[in-house]
Amino acid sequence: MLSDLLYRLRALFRRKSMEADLDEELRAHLEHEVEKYVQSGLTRAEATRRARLKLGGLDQVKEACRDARGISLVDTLLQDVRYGLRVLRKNPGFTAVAVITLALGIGANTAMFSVVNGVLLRPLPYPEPERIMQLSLVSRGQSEGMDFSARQFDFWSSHSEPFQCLTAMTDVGFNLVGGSRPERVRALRVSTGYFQVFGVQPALGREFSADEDRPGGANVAILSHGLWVRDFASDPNVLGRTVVLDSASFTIVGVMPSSFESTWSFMGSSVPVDLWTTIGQVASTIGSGTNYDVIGRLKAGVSRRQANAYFATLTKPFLLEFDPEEAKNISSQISIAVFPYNYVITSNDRGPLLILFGAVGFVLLIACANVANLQLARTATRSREISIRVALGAGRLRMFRQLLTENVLLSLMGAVAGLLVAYGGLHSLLALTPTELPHAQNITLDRWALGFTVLVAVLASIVFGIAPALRASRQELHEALKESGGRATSPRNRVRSALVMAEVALSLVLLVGSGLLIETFTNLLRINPGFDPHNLLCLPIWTTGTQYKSSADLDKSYEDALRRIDAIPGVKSSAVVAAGSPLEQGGNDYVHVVGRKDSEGFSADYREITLEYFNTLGVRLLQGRFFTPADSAGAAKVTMINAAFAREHFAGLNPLGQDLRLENDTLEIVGVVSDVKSRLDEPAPSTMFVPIAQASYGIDQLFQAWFPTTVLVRTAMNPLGLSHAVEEALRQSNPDMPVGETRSMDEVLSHSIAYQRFLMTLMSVFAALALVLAAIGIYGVMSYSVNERTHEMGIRMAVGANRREVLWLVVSRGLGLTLAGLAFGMAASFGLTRLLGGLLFGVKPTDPTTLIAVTLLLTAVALLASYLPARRATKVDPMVALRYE
Amino acid sequence: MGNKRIDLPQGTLDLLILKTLALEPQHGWAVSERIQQISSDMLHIQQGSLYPALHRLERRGWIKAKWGASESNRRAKYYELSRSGRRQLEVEESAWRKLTAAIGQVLETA
Repeated sequence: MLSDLLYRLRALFRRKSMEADLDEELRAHLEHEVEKYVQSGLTRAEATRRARLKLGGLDQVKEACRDARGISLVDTLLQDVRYGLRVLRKNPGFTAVAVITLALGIGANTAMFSVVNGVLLRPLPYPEPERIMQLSLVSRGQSEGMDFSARQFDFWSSHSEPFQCLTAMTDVGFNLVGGSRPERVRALRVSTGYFQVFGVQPALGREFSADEDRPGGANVAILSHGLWVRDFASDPNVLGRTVVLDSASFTIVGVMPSSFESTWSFMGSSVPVDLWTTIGQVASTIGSGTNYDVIGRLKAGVSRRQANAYFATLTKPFLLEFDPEEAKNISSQISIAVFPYNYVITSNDRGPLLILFGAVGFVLLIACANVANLQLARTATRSREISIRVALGAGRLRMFRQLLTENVLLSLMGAVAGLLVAYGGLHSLLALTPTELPHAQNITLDRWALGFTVLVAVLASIVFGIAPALRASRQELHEALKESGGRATSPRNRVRSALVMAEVALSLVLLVGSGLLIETFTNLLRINPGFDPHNLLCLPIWTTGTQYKSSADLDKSYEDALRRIDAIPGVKSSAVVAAGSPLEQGGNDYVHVVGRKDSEGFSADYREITLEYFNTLGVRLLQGRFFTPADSAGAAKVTMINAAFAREHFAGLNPLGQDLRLENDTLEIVGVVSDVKSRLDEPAPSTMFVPIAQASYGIDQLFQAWFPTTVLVRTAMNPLGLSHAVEEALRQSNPDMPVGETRSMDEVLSHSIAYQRFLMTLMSVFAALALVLAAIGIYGVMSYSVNERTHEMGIRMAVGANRREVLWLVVSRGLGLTLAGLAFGMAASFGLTRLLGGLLFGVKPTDPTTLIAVTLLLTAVALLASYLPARRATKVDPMVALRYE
Repeated sequence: MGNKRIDLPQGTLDLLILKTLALEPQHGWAVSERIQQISSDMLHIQQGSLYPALHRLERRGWIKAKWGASESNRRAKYYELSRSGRRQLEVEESAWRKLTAAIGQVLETA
């Protein structure tokens, strides 16, 4: 076998000389043969003729020798590539259309793949990331909640058989003072197992000790690489220094490596973590120790299924200990299970991204159908060329391979152009990417994307190329050489019609999807947030660890800051709200209505406000009164509720004068205001408001760990123009207080629907691409069929058909194909748009209006696409057409 | 030329070529002439399939090629049997004999 290989290799590299050898060998043969005939008395000319006849076709013999030498694999490939390039060069129109079509299809897919790969597929940058699991309560296969309490974490710590180690973590914010300006840092409080679970050790220093991770333990912190560089100038001697977080000193014991990536979802944005500290100190304080994420690393060799089997047996003991009520009526539906950590992080984005990926796959299918159609049309015109090559000794397999090579070439050219499309597309796409998308920084055109592009290109070439290549290599010689054969509806036409129907069907699905998302988006835009978002400035601030140690002090400092802000020209009014700003998620707490025997208490949103809050937002008073300066720290505690609260908990009763119990306080309801939305696509939550002066300082500080306090400024002009003045006023009022990113409420509003905008825009772009490609497809097929039927048209017109009839003849066929495609598309869209269900707002997946609108649009486009060729048909001169044969 | 010629059964061309080359190195044309001569013009070799067969045998390493001068003083490509070619010839020859013997037996007794 070695000699065989050497022979083939030599054959490959010495192709030129071997080709010359072959020529000479055969020439020698002919000369010997001629000599023999001449000696037997023939003339030289006759002898030459006979010798040639006897040997057979020289080219066929050579070809057979090349095959026998076995170099044909590589050799014919090179030959095919050269030939293919020549063919493509000779048909620049066809090549350009096909390459552009493929470039759009492949490019869009590459761009979308980069997103899917960066966000969903890329493994987390930890050793053996697939072993990192998050513990969750599961009901009917759906994760119900991942929050556990400190005590529950202790329970899991002592029942962690499948885990090599496990950890609890919760996100917090700190005011870091001492840098160039006060800064708000994002931190994770973690238990000691954290670094083993993620398998990463600090680059400098050490991890936390068990002694530090307990109530009363020493305050220690580990810095992220980013914070170390930013605030500590990459000081290698940073260990042992202290950092002041919320006015408490923390000793720096470590710095994480720059490769350690930890992001946390903060206020709907995925942001990097700045530092880590221990969770043990706050086990009984932070949200009563709830909101723990419990994450573990599975022991080597333990599967997720084994872990789940183990935790399923613990469901009952767990519920008995922590939720006896639930344990009593325990249904087999509820259990404890683990989910891969990466899956948890991306669970919200998986569905939408995969839907978009599917949609862009449809675009590629349509592009392939188009190119297949072009190829089929071309095969018809190329049939002579192909027949001649077959007649000259090219095998059918060889012919098939040649055509496939051509397709792959076409596809690769499409892929190269597609990379440009992807490059440009990805830039626009990233600009649209909502900040909620995790790992968005990983979205690049990397080698995976390149590999994917090549793979897609090759697959595409097979998808669009196999039918034309099969048909071409199989056609009957004599028929093709006669050239006029197959005028009527040939099987080729049936394939092409089917392709067009498929294109229409796929386009319909995409258009319906995009229509539904557009409808969703416009519905959201129409939603009244419950206040006037224009000319309103929002500034997040944090007061944790500042010198104000009581709510009354806090209130005084806010009033001071607000007075300074109100003095700025252009400011109409200003207010502070803590525990959640309008159109953003906020805090909630447990409330009881005093005197209700059956009242078990319920969860309601909770906000602390200054006096001008409702006035600044433009929220209406429905009942009772607003807060007044008389509702001060020492006065009787009062609260206001929103309309949703009144509806839900005081249906038909007058809430005024009723008392609410919140933690240890009793508050009298003095007013009811109209609703303000936290999310545009959800009704406003039941909300209670308290004057900041009367608020519980503990609750205030607790909520600030998650939600910034917000300064709202109503302006008479573009609010962003005043942002500097307002920031300056805040700084003068309290130089130690970090001020976050200033935004106008219009920006907040826009941000709140960024995800829907992202989905809508991408889906619409894909649908528009699909529509254009489908239109090109219909146009191509109709043009071709008009050309093919020129003769028939001529006869029809010669025997008296008028232009209208001829026009209708063509248009009706295009329309017929479209309608058939629409029928298939509708059936498909009924099945597929259900996937969009959770992403829609105010519109059903089977919305008839959208369906009708989209159908009309597609029909109109199809009409136009077949009208243009039809008009050409009516211009056929009967005489010319008849002579055409 | 009056003799009816027999077309070669499938697969026997290789055997004939190997056998012919076993006597002495030959170039392609001479191989076909030799086979026809020895078979008294009974075997008809398609010259068109001779050369692919030679190249195939060369690739398998059973024959080796080198350039030399022919009897009429032309440059010609001479093929000679390699050691493995000789072994292959033995294998194929005995297989052929077994085959013809078996077929002969069937024809005589049946």
